[in-house]
Amino acid sequence: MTRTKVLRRSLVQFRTHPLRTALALLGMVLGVSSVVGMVSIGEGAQREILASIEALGGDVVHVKAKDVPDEKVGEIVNDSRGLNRNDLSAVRSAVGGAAETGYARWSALGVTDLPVSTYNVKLVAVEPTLFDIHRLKVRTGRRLLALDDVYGRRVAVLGSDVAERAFPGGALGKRIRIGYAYFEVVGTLEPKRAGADLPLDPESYNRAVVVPFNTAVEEVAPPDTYKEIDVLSAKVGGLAETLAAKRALGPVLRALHGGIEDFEIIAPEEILEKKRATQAILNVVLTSIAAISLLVGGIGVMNIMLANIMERITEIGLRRAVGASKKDIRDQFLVESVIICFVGGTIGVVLGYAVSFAVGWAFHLTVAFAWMAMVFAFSLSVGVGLVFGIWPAMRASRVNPVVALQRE
Amino acid sequence: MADPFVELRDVTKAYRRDESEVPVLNGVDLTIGRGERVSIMGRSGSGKSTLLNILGCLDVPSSGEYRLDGHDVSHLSDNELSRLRNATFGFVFQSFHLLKGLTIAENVELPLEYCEGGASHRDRALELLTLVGLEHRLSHRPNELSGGERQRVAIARALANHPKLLLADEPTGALDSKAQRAILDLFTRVHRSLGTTLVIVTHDPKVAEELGDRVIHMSDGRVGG
Ligand SMILES: Nc1ncnc2c1ncn2[C@@H]1O[C@H](COP(=O)(O)OP(=O)(O)OP(=O)(O)O)[C@@H](O)[C@H]1O
Ligand SMILES: [Mg+2]
Repeated sequence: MTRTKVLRRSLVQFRTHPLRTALALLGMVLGVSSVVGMVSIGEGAQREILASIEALGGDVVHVKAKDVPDEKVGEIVNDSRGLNRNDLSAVRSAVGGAAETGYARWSALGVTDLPVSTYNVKLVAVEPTLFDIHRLKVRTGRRLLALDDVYGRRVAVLGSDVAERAFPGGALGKRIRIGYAYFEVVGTLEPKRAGADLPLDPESYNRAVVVPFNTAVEEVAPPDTYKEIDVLSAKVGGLAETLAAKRALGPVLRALHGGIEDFEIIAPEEILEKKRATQAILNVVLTSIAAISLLVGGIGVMNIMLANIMERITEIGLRRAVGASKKDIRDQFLVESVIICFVGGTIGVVLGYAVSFAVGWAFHLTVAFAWMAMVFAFSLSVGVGLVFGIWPAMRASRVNPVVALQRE
Repeated sequence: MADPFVELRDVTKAYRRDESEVPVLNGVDLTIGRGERVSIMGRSGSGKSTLLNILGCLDVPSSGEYRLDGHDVSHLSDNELSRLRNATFGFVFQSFHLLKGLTIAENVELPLEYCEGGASHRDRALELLTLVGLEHRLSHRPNELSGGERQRVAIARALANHPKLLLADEPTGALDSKAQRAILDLFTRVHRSLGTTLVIVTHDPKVAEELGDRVIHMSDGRVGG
C-alpha cells in the first residue's frame, strides 16, 4: 500500500517534468546500451573463437607435418621419414591407449574429369575415423567407412563447394575420374566454417574430394619421398586435456624423428588461451568504456535529482508539514532515481541489443544474446539509481521544513 | 484553564546565524484550551511564525517545555514528530503551498498519504471539497483557481486528517476583501461544526477580533496581554 503510494508520487513527478525526466533517462539509456553492446559483442567474439576452435574438434590434438627448407631435405631424409603412419602407435600410446585417431593427406587433385575448374580443389585421403574426429557432417549420401579403406574401394565424398558447383543436380552416384581411376560419389559434406590457427583451415574441406586413404595410395597418389601424411589427429578427454597431450607427444615424436622438428603439435586449448589473452585486453577496454558511460549516466541522474531538490523545496517542506518523515522524503527521491535508472536501463538493454545486432550484421561479427548480460545490466542500472540517487535523496530529506516553507 | 490542550512553559528559540545566536523567542508562556480560538498579532519579526511552527511541531524549541494534550513533546524524535504533525495538526499558509503537479483532490488527499491505513481517499477529498464549496473542481489544477479558492483547498487539505489543532499563518494576507470574507466564514463554520482548536496569526485587528476568543500580542519574542 505504502509502496504503491511512493510509486505514484514518482510518476506524478515525471508527469510534471517530462523533458527533465527524458534527459535523465537518455543518459541511462546510453550508459546501459553501451554496457549491453560491449558485453554482447565481447561475448560474441568469445563464442566465435570457441566455435572456430571446435570446427575441427575441441577435444582433439593435432600433429601436422611441417615443411622443411629445401636445403635441409637431404639430411632430413636420412634421419627422419617425416610424419607417417608409423607414428600412429606412438601417438596412441602417448595420449592414452584408447584414443581415437585419424590421419589425412592433402594433395592436388591432378587429372580429373570434374566439369569445373579444379584450381583450389584438393584430394584429401583420409582414414575414415577422421569423419568423427574432424566433425565432418554428411549432407547427402553416406560417410566413408572403415571397410572402404580396408578394401581400397573407389568411393568419394565431395565437399559442399565442389558438390554444388560440379553437380548442381545432385552428386550422389556420379562417377568421377581422379588420376586414371574412376570413383563413385557416395556422399556430400555439410559446409564447414572457417577457423584460424588450426592445422588446416576447416573451410578447405568445402573444396575437397575426400577418398579412403588406402585407395588413394594404391590408385592415385603414391606417398611423398619423405612424408606420407599431412595431419594426424587424436581425440583426448576434452579441451583442457589437449595441452597435456601436446606435452606428452612432443618428446615421443621428436625421438622417433631423430630430433628433427618436421612436425608441429597443435592443441586447441593453447590457441584458445592465446586468443583469450588478446580478448581479455579488449574486454578491459570495452568494460572501461561501458563503465564510464554508465558513470556519466549516473551523474546525469544525480544532477537532475539535485536540481529537483532546489525546485521542489517548498514541496518538500509542505510534505513534511503534513506528516512526511525524513525517511518518506528520502524514499520518494530515491524511488524516483531508481525508476529513472530502471526504465532507462530497460530501454538501454533493448537499444543495446538492437544496435549490436545491427553492427554485427553490418560487420559480420558474431553477437551473443546473453541472459546474464541482461540481468547484469538491469541490476547495474538499479544499482546506479541507488548509488547516484542516495546522496540527493539524503539531501532532500535533510531540508529544514521551516526554511523551505518560508520561500515563496 | 479547565482543559488545557497546549501548554508552553518558558519556551525560547534562537537561530544560529554565522557565529552568533539570534534570539527569536525569549521565554514564551502560553496555554490554549481545547476548542479555543486564539489570534496572534504583533510586528513583523516579533516571532509569530516561529511560535506557530513550534506549536505545530515543525520546529523544536531551543529550551523550555511543550506539553501537548498532557504529553511532553519536547523530546520526541523526528519520526514521532512527523506522525504527530500528520495526526494532530493542520497547517494553513499565507501562500497556500498547493502542489502544482497534483489535482485539487490529490492535494487534499496529501496528508492521508502519510498515515497508516486510511479509508478511501477520494471520498474524503470529495467530502472536504464539498465543505469548502469546491466539489465541482475536483480534477482541476491549482493554477486554474483564484487565490481565495486555493486557500479554501488548502483549508480542506489541513482538515483531511481530522486535526485537533488548526494553525493558520496569515491565511488571508494574500487575498482581497471578498475572498477574505469567504475564508473567515469558512474558519468560523469549521470551528462551529468540528470544534477544532484554532490558532491564527494575522496583521489585521478586525480579523483577530472576529476569529479569536482571545487575542495575543507578541513583541520581542514575548507574549504580552
Ligand atoms: N530559519 C531562520 N534562521 C534564522 N533566522 C530566522 C529563521 N526564521 C526566522 N528567523 C528570524 O526570526 C525572527 C522572527 O521571525 P518570524 O518569521 O517568526 O517573524 P514573524 O513575526 O512571523 O514576522 P512576519 O510578520 O514578517 O511574518 C526574524 O527576525 C527572522 O529573521
Ligand atoms: Mg510570519
